[in-house]
Amino acid sequence: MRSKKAEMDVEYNVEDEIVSSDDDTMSVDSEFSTASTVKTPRTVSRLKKETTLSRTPSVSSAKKPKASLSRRSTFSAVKSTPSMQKRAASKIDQTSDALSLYEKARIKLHVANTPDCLPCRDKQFSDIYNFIETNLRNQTGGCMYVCGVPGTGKTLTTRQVILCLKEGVNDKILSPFKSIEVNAFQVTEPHQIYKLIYKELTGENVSAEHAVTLLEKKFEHKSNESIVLLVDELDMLCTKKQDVLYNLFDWPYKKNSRWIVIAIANAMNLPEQVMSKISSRLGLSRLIFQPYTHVELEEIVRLRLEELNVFDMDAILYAARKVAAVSGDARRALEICRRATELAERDTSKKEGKSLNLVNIGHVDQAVKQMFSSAKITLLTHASKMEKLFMKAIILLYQKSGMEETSLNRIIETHNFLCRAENMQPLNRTQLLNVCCSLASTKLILLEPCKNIYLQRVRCNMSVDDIEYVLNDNK
Amino acid sequence: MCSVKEIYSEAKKALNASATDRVVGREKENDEIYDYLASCFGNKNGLSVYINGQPGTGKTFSVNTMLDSLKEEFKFNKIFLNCMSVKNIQNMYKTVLSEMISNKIDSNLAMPKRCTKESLQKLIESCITSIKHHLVLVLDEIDQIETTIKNASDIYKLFELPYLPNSKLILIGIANSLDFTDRLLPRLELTPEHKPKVIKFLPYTKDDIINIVKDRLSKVQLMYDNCVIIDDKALMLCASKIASTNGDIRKVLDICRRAIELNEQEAKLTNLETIKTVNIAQMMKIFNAVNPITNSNLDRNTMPLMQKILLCTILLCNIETKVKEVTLSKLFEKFNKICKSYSTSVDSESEFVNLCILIQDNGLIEVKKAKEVRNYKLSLKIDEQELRDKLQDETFMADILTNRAYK
Ligand SMILES: Nc1ncnc2c1ncn2[C@@H]1O[C@H](COP(=O)(O)OP(=O)(O)OP(=O)(O)O)[C@@H](O)[C@H]1O
Ligand SMILES: Nc1ncnc2c1ncn2[C@@H]1O[C@H](COP(=O)(O)OP(=O)(O)O)[C@@H](O)[C@H]1O
Ligand SMILES: [Mg+2]
Ligand SMILES: [Mg+2]
Repeated sequence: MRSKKAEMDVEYNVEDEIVSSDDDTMSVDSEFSTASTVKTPRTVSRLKKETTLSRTPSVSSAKKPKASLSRRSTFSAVKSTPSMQKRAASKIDQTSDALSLYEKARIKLHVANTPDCLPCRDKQFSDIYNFIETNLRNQTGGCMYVCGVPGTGKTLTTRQVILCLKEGVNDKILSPFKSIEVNAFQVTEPHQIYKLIYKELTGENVSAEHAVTLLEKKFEHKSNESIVLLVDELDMLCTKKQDVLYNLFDWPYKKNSRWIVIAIANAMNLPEQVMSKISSRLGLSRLIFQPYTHVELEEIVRLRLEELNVFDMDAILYAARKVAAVSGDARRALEICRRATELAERDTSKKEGKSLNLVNIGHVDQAVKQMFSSAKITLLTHASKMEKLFMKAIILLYQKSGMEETSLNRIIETHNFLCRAENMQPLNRTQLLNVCCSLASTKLILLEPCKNIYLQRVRCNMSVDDIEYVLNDNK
Repeated sequence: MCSVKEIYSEAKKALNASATDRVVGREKENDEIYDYLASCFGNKNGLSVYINGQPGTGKTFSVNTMLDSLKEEFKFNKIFLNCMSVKNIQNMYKTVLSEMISNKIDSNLAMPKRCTKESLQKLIESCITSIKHHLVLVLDEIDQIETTIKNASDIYKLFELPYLPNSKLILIGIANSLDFTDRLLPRLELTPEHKPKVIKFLPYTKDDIINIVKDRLSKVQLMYDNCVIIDDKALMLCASKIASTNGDIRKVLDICRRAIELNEQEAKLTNLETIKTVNIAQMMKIFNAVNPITNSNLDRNTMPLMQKILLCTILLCNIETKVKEVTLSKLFEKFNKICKSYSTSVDSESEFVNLCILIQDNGLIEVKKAKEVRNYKLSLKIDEQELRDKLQDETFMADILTNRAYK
């Protein structure tokens, strides 16, 4: 299963780490100072288009580092908001002496590190931007449904939009608004989201039940401030009655309401699954984040590394292709690359030479194997010889009969046969029962209880390929 | 001369759902409600009205507007309650009572110390039979109480409130379900005169829709020397398309707003001095873009390769076993076999499960969970032939689907 909650925790922790490591004064990279002249988001988006155009045809020339470097710097200067650049730059700069190139690359590649720029999401950025901006200017409410599989930059893009709009407020182009971000993972039960929203809005702690009535009260009077509500991981808020979803999307439609709700979810067909009155309110402003292609993933990693020259370009491409074929998840691509730098660093320190090892395809491949080989494979790799033979007996029987389940009796027979074939003393029944139980306790095999212990059905809980892979590897 | 941008902005604002307080059309329904209410205010008795219709047919809007305008003619109090967030009958009575208190309907009213269902009900009953002016209680999404209030006698008591002797309560229920009255109310065995008056809001027709949009835009058009924002043909297209599905006015407004947005973007490229009219081609473009069938990554041709291979594998399994469900372990095995012959692979079982979930997010398959991951059951959620056609577009997939070795 996707363990998003765990992922989030990790992100937060590391963010703390990074932030706490910089305590000196801020220094702004000269390269970025040009950006401060670019103020209005409109010009940003126009310039963005130009840079995208000039960028796209030359992807194949990415291997020429010099050319791509200059393109990169102009791109990032135009693209991101000034304050973000300050933050990102200061994080890296102050630590520059202490950290090795590898470490710098790893910080840059960390998913929790907000990138200096947001490549490949120009259209989505401007769609969300225009939607919120129009509603802010017209003092109206509205809702937008943003969906796409994990790691496609939904949360990131939306946050950037809000940051960008906030900057518009600072520059007095827009009137002030309030923004609230809630994540359904922050609550244990869907209705608690009201409590969270109310707390973010007013700072007061009230019960969920009370919070919803208080929120509804707010709509009786015309408010003089727009509220942008970002609800992340909306899928988690589905209840049987769907009342939470209904309320979230009904608020923007209340008379004089100035709520702008941006709902982020994974499922693309959610609007078709909910009650018709909810999908009616959800409207047609649906924005889909497609999985990244390998070209986009490569660019994302490359732009993060900027001038740090630690990666072999082929290695990035390899990682990008690997991820794009399966999920197109940027988070994953970044994690693989980060792990690969660790492996490369280890190689360098072993070599004891001064020269730096570039991260190459071999490192990436190794990283992929380490990260995604399952716990079961590791378990079996470290299992005892007899346990391995037990598994081997199961797959032998499976290959012979084609049935997924076999009785323990037949396995014992086969096990004895295998032992003799390998010149080992066969185990007695009780000993084998112990082996069987220990395998079952690690869930490598599944048992279906039966009165007669030796007649109980056994099936392996791991793919045959994986078992063969481990067994053949150890010979 | 005003800026073009301003016109676009005003037009979009006018099309926002909550931008107006004028009901266009719906004369028959509104007259009916008016007659009921007016007779009731005159006769000094209670009444219950039940309004039903599909989403976005103007039920809530009509009732609220009507009550606001009646305020000028009659003296009454109004409480609006959305049953969506009502947890149980007690919770509902409590909310009503606290609204009564805060609206100062009866100066002697106070929240009881112990809020049992009975005590709350007693209080409300005594209040509505003793007040001077009528109290209108609007219960929006009333069909939801069926799921929360399991006890039919509680609902019965609620519907009987307007008919207590001297009761001054007018109960207006609003809901989508057409059969709420037919299914639930007979069970309550209300006497014929106590049955709620039922008013149906039929979906908006093509002409209704055109009138509503025109009315909203007319103000803007007047303000800016009668420029035409959406041309008649385009509006006609939009209206007839929506009227033929569910007549949801929210959808209409949304589509018109997006058409204006599209027009604005296209106009920006040419730097015109005056506003361009939304034409039928632009309206068509919006309709094509919002078609929900083109939603999954597969349709947009952005689906990662492995996910497509997995879909092929499910198809093959279904053909092979003639059963619509396939277990994850079986699928994984076949999938690996296919992957191997194209020299790709996924790295582990958990990766494979992840892959399945990603396709589920696209709405193409359903993953039924079981205790053990390997016993998860997968089934297609779209038509087999349709999927086959989509996959066959690509030579690689067609190759997998037709290769005998995998069958
Ligand atoms: N006849 C009309 N004239 C003008 N505007 C209308 C009309 N009917 C509906 N609208 C607009 O459509 C919006 C949605 O209508 P409303 O909230 O009444 O829907 P509903 O029928 O209550 O739907 P649901 O069952 O989903 O609650 C209103 O905010 C209103 O602005
Ligand atoms: N276009 C992009 N450019 C740079 N980094 C990106 C991009 N898209 C995603 N990422 C990285 O992937 C991570 C996950 O993105 P996020 O928006 O949280 O995904 P989700 O779609 O699941 O909300 C981000 O924190 C960021 O580090
Ligand atoms: Mg997210
Ligand atoms: Mg309604």
